[in-house]
Amino acid sequence: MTTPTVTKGKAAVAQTKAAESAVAPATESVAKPINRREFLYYIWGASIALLLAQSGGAIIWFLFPRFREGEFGGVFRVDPATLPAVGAAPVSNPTGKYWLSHTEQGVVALSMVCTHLGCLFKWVDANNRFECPCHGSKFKTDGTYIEGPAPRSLDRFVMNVITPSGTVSTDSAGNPIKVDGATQLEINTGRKIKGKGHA
Amino acid sequence: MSVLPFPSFLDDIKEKGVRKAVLELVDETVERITAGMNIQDIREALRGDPPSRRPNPRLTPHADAFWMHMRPSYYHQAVTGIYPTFRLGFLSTFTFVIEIITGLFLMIFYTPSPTVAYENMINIMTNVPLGQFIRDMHRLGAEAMVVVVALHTIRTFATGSYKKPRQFTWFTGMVLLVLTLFLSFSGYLLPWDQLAFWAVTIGTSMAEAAPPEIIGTSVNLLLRGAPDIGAGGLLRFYLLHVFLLPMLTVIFLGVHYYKVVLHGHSLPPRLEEVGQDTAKRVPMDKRVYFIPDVATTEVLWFGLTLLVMTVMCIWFFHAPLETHANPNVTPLHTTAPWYFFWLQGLLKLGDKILYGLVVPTVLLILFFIYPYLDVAKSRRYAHRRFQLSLMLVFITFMLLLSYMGTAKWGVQTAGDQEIVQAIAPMEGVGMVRGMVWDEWVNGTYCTSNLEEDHELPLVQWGATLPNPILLPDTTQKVICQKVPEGKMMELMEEYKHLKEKWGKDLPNVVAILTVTDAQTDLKRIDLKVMWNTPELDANGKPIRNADGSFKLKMVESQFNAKGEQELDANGQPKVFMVPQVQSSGKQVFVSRLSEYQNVGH
Amino acid sequence: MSIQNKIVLGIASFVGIMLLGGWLAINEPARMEVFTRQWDGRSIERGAELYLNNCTSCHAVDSLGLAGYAPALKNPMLFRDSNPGKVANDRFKDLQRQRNDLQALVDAYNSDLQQRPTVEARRNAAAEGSEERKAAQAELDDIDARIRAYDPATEQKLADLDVKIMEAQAEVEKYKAEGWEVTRDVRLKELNWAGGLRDYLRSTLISGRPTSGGLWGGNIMPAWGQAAGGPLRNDEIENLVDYLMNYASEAVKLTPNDVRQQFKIAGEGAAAVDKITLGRSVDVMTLDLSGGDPAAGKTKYEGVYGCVACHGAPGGAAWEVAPLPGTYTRVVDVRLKVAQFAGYTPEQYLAESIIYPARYVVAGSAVQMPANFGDLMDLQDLKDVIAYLATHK
Repeated sequence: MTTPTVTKGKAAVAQTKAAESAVAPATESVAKPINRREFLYYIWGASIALLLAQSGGAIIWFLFPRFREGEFGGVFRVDPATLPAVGAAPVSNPTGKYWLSHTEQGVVALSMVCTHLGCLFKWVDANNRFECPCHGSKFKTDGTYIEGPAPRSLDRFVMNVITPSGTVSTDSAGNPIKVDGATQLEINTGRKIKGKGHA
Repeated sequence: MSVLPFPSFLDDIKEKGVRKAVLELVDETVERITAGMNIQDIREALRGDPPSRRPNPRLTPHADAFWMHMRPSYYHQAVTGIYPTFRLGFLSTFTFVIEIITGLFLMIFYTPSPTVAYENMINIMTNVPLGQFIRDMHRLGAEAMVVVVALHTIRTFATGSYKKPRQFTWFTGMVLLVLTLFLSFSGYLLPWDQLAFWAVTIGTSMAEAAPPEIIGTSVNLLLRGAPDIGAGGLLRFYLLHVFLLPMLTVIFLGVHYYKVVLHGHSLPPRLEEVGQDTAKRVPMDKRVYFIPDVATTEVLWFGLTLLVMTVMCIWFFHAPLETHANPNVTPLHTTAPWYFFWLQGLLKLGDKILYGLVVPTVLLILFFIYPYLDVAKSRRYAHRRFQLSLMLVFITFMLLLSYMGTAKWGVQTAGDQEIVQAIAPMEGVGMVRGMVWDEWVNGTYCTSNLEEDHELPLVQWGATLPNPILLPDTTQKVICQKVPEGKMMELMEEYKHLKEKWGKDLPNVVAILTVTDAQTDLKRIDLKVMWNTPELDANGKPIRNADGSFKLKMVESQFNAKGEQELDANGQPKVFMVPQVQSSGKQVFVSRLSEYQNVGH
Repeated sequence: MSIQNKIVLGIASFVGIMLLGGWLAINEPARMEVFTRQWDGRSIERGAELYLNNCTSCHAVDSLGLAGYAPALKNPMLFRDSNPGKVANDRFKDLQRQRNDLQALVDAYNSDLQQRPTVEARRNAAAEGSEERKAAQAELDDIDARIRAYDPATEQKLADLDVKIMEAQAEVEKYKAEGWEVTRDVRLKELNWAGGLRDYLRSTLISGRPTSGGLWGGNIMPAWGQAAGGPLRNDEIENLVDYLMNYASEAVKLTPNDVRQQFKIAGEGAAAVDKITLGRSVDVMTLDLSGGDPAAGKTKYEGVYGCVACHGAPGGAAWEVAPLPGTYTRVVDVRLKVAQFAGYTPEQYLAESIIYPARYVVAGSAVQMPANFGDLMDLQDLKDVIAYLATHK
C-alpha cells in the first residue's frame, strides 16, 4: 500500500503554518468547498448508515416471534361440524384461549381474557352469559358488555370463514359471521379486535 | 440582561441571532461528542488537509475519549500496509466481535437443555427469518477466528515480534489462542446433534485421561456435570461458552492489546537495528495518524471481510445439523472439528495419555515460555534461520497430523460396512439420499451385472434371516434387474466401484440395492452386501490358495450349492459341505420432502 | 492504495452487503418453507427407521397388524372420521324405527275398525241415560275420533319406507362385505378420545397399553416413551407419530378387510347385540308394555343399565331418588294422581319416567337421571324392567 503522499507533503507545510498560527485562535474559519475525498467519505457514511438501517430492520424481523398453526398467537383451524348450535352454550379452546359463540348473527371468536384486568371469565349456563370471577364483569353470549367494571365488551379474534364460494373475513368491528355451508373456520389468535367501549 | 432569570441558550440567540447560535450549538455538541473535534476539524480530516489548529484536534479523542483511548493515535508508516501484520490482529478482534453479535442473536432462540436444544436448532433454521444465515455466520466466524488467530500467531513468531520487550504480549496471546480453541469447542456441543455430542465426548474423555486419576476424573465431572454428557454437561458447556470464556477473552484481549499499543506495533525486522526496538519512537515524517487514515483502512477491512463472509454464508458455507444426539449410538467415522484433527491424529499414534495429553501439554508450555527461552536479540530473518525452519517443520507436522486425524485415515471397519457407509453414511447425505426423487425406479439391482436381468449368484439357502428382513429375501433365488439409465445407473456404478475398492478381502462379494415404497412419498432403500466367508489366519487376514483365489470357509448345510435337498439311503436329508454365505447391510428411508440433493448436508 | 480508492472500495463493500442482504431477505420466506418441509421429511424417515426396528414384530412391516398381536396402524378405523358401515346401519335402524311407528298406527287403526261394531252394539244394548251407555258412547266417540284422525296415506308411506329400508339394508350388507363392523364407531370416537389423532398416537406410544394384556392373550404393548420408562426420547416419539400420520392418505382408501387385525376394546367378547333401540322421540303411549319378564328385568336393572347404582337394591334407598321398595304402589297411589298423568297406566308412567326423566320431577329433587336410555334400550328391555319394577308393590 502506498503512503498518503498528499498528507506527507502538507504535514510539513502545516507544521510551519501551525507554528505561525499558534497564537491566533482558529475560530474564524472560511467555509471550504467540499473536495472529492470529503464527498466520497460522505457517500461512504451514507452507505454505512443505510446498511445499519437495513440491519436494524432485519434484526426486528429476526426478533419477532412467529407462531405456527395450533399455537396461541397463530391460526387455529376449526371444523364447522364441531361448532355449537345457534343459541347453544359457547365452546372453548383453552390452547387458543378463545370461546366460540354461535348467535343468530353468526359465529364469533371471543378472547378468553376479560377486558377488565386480564382474568379468564367463565361461562355460566344458568344465567346464559359470561361472568368474570375476579371483579364480577358480565357479558352476553356474543361478548357484549352487560355490567361490571370492565371498560368494554369482549375482544374478538379475526376469523376467516371458508365456503365453497369464497372466504369471508371478520370486519373491522369484529361482527359475527354466518357459517352456513362453511367448510372450515380459521381463527387467527394473533389478530385481536378490541370490543366496543360502553358509555 | 438574561432573557430568563438564569443564563441560558436564549441569551446566545439574543446576542447572535438564531442561525448563528444554533450553528454554534451544533458545533459545540459535535466537539463534545467526538471529544475534541468540531465540524471544521472533522471536515479537514475528511478532506485530507492538515489540522488548522493546535493542539492537533485529531489526537484529543485518543486522549480524552473512552473508546478511542486504547487505540494508538498514530501508526508507523511501515506497519500500515498489509505486510508485516496482514491485519491479522484486527481480523482476530473482528471475528470475535462478529461471534458476540451473532451469538447474542442465537441466544434468543436457544435453550441449553437436551430435551429442546435440537428442536431449537430446527426452529432457528426453519421458522426464524434469517435464522439460518445468522447461524451460518456464527459458525463461519468461529472457524475463521481459529484460522485467523492461528495465522496471527504464526506471523508473530515469524517476524520475531515476541522478543523483548513483547514477551508478555506473546504470553497473553497464547492464552487467547487457547481460549479461542475452547470457545469453539464449547460451542460445538450446543446443537446437540450426533456430531456435537460425540466430538465433545471424545474431547472430555481426553481430559478424563489426565493423570493422576483424581485430577482427570474431577476435571471430567466438572466439565460434564455427570460421568457422561447429559443435561448437566450441556448447561455447563453453555455457560462456559456464553459467559466465562468470553469474559476471560475480553479480559485477556484488553491486556494483550494494551501491551501492543504500549510497545507499539513491531516494525518489519529489516527496518531496525539489531536489538533495537524503535516502534514507540516514531519520527514525525513517518507518522500515519489514526484519524482519518488508519480508521479509513480499518472500516474498509471491516466492510470487505463482512462482504466475503456474507457471500460465503449465502452460497457456499452452511453449518451442518446431523441427527439428534444419541448416547447409545456412535456413528461410523466420527470426527473432531477440523482444528482438532491434529489431536485426533496424535491419538492414532499410540497411548492416549502420552500422545493425547503429554505431547500437547508439553508443546503448549514450550509455546507459552518461548520468548523467555529465545533471547537472541535479532529479529532479522537471516539471523533466525533455525527458528524459522523449526516453525516450518512444526507447521508441516501439524498438517500431517491433521491429515492423519481425518475420519477415514487409519480407522477402517469391515469392508462390507465401508461399502455401505460410503454410499449411505450414517450421518450426512451420500449418493443414496442425494438421488433425485423422480429418478428412483423400484426394483432389485446387483453389482454382479448392471446391464441385464440375471440371477443373484449368492443364495443363503436354508438360512434364518433376522427380523426385520433386509431385502431382498436371499434365502431363495433372487432375480436382479437391469439397471435403468440415468441417475440409477450412476448410483449403481458408484456402488460397484465401492464394492471393488472396499471388498478386496471379501470373496465373491456382491452389493445389492433394493428400492421399494414404504409409504406415500417415502422410499425404502435396502443396501445389502453378500459374500462368501473366507478362511482367516491367526491375524484375521484371509487365507489365499496357491492360485491366488480365496480359501472359502465351508459349512454344513442341508442344501447343496444349487439349493436342492436330497435324501440319503436312510431317508434322512443329506448333509453337504458348501461355502458359507454372509450378508450385512442396512435400510435407508428417503422422503420426497427431504430434497437432500438441494440441501447438501 | 490511495485513500480515495480505499473509500470507493469501502463504499462498494457496504453497498454489496446491502444488496446481498436484500436478496437474502427476499428469498427468506420461501427458504423457510422449503426447510420446514425438508425437516418434516427427515422426521418421517427417522420414524420409518424406528418403526422398522421396534414395531414390526407386532404391527407388521406393512403396518396392517398381526392377528392376535397388534392392530393395524394403516387402518381406516384410525384415520377416518366415521365408520361408513355404522352410518349406513344407523340409518337402516332409524328407518326401521320409523316403520315400526307407522305400522303401529296402521295396526291401531285396523284394531279400531274391528272393535267399532262391538262397542256400538254395546252402546245400543245399554239402557238410555245409563252409565254403561255413557261409557260406551264415550268409547265410541274416542274410536271415531281416532278413525277420523287417521291419515289414509299412512299405508302408502309404509310401502315407500319399505323400499328405502331395502336399499338401506343393501348398503349395510355391502359395507359388511367389506369388513366394516356396523355397530362400532371409528377408534377415536369409540374411545371417546377428546384430543386429536396425533395426541392419541403420541399418548399410546409413550405409555403403551399396560392393562390390555387380557385382550391380546398376554401380548402387552410396552411403554416406549422415556417418560414412562421406555427407551425412546420425545423427539423419537414425535418422529414415529409423523411416520404414522403419513399413512393417512393411503389408510382412508382401505377397507377393514384389507387389514389383518382390527382394534379391540375392553368389554369385547360379550356379543354385541344389534338391537333396534327405542330412540329418544318415541311416544310411550303407543307402546305395548305388557309381557315383560321380571327376572330378565332384574338382571338388566342390576346389570347393564345400572339402575341399582342410584335406585338401590331392594331393601335400601339411595340418594334423593325414587327408592325401589313400594315402587308400583307409589306410582298408582301417588304419582298417577298428578294431573299430568291423567289417563296413564302405571306401566306407561314408568316407561315415560325411564325414557323422559325430565318430564316430571318430584318437587325438591333435581334432574339427575340420565336421559339416554332410549338409545340404550329396546322394547323388550323396557318391558322387562317395568315388569320387574311392578313386582315391588
